[in-house]
Amino acid sequence: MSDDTVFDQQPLGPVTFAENPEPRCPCLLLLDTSGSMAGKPIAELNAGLRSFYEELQGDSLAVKRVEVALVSFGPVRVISEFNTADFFLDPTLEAEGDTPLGEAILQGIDLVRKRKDEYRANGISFYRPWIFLITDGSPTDEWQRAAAAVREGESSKSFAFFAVGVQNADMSVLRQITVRQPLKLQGLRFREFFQWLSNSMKSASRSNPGDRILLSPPSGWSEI
Amino acid sequence: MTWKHLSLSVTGKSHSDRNEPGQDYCRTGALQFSDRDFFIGLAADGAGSTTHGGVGAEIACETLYLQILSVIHKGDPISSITDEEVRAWVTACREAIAARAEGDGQRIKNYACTLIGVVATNDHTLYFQIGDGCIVTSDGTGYHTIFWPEQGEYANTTYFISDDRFLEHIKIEHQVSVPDEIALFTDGLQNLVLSFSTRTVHDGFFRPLFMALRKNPDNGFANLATNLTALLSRDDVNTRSDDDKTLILAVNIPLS
Repeated sequence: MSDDTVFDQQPLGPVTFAENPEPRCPCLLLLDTSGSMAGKPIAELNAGLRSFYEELQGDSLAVKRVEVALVSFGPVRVISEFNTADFFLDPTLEAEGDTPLGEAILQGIDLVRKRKDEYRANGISFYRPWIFLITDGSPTDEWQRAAAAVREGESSKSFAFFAVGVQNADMSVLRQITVRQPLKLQGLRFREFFQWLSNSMKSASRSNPGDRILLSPPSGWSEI
Repeated sequence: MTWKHLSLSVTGKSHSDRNEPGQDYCRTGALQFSDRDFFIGLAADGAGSTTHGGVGAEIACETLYLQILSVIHKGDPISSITDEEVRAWVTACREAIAARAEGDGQRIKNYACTLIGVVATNDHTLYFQIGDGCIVTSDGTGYHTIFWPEQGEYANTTYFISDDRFLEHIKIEHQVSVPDEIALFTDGLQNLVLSFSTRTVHDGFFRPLFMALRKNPDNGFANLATNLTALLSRDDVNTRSDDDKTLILAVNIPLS
């Protein structure tokens, strides 16, 4: 049987597809781990974080596309640079120190910028990065420069910045940092928050050119 | 020479799962006028975030097709078509879409679509594009893109005919030759058939398809189209791209 015969019977048998890296959907979490988070809050945050990774790992497309970076502050530490969810190190965050929120934001924005440069250098397309700031206090460092960097990044569409206040968080400072309405976590519903975030990331990572990415309403965890 | 061509649109899983129609549209034609053979291939992709992107795509292709036909019927050579004229065609498409939007009480943004097009004749080919999707040709040595798909900064952004500054994003190219093979496809396929790290065309997709089209008996298009539709609807394809996929293939057959 000649090759031609095979071809006639299965004309599209030899068709193959190009291999391309999946487009990436970066998400940076800036997590307040200052002394005031000690006890139940930090335990709930850790549990929520673990469930967030489990959700992403359980989604065949999100696990390849969503990249999460973790920065904790009090003091500022890069817990994890941008990685897909299968590279979760399962850190147990501990509450200590003060609330250097300004420095955390500036370092976080820098991480995002570097990651975007790496995507571009490697021909990987990507979605607009999301930055989530979660804090229960008020900044103990100079935060005005960070607020300006957030506004600049939002207006140039370099990233979308969201703030979530926990318990006694200084919501008025958060309102001055974000151009979006900051949200207040209901009690310690970190798990519900992370469930919502993983759902939002899963749907964003599936969007195609021309799609508008919309966050679902923050029901089940926020006070509004 | 004569043109043999095939076109199909497959609704992506992201739409079919929600019982929505596909938002891609295409229009092709092979015609003879005077002593010349022409191939026209047009494809448009309605934006996923819109309610009427598919309508915009259809109006764009049909309006453009008529404009091109009238140029051919006037007997003007394709080589004499200026960039200005192409921009005027696209502007006319946009006006047709705007008129429809107004009639529907909608904003033109809700009819956003991309547009790619080819007009080829014996010795000259005109290409144009706005937004993503791609045109690939073969000159016998390999496959090349005419324009690399124009994406915005992010993976879910591109440029549309409905944009205010659409004229700045129309890309136009003339070639004083005619390719052996031409493919046009919308963005749903681009990630599967182009290699983005090297900005090259994946030959393994196009070579067998063009061979199949050349071998396909003239009256047997339905069979190849059915097989190709099945291929582009496969689960492993949908896993990598759940968007609508439109593919136009054309081969020029020298007269023996």
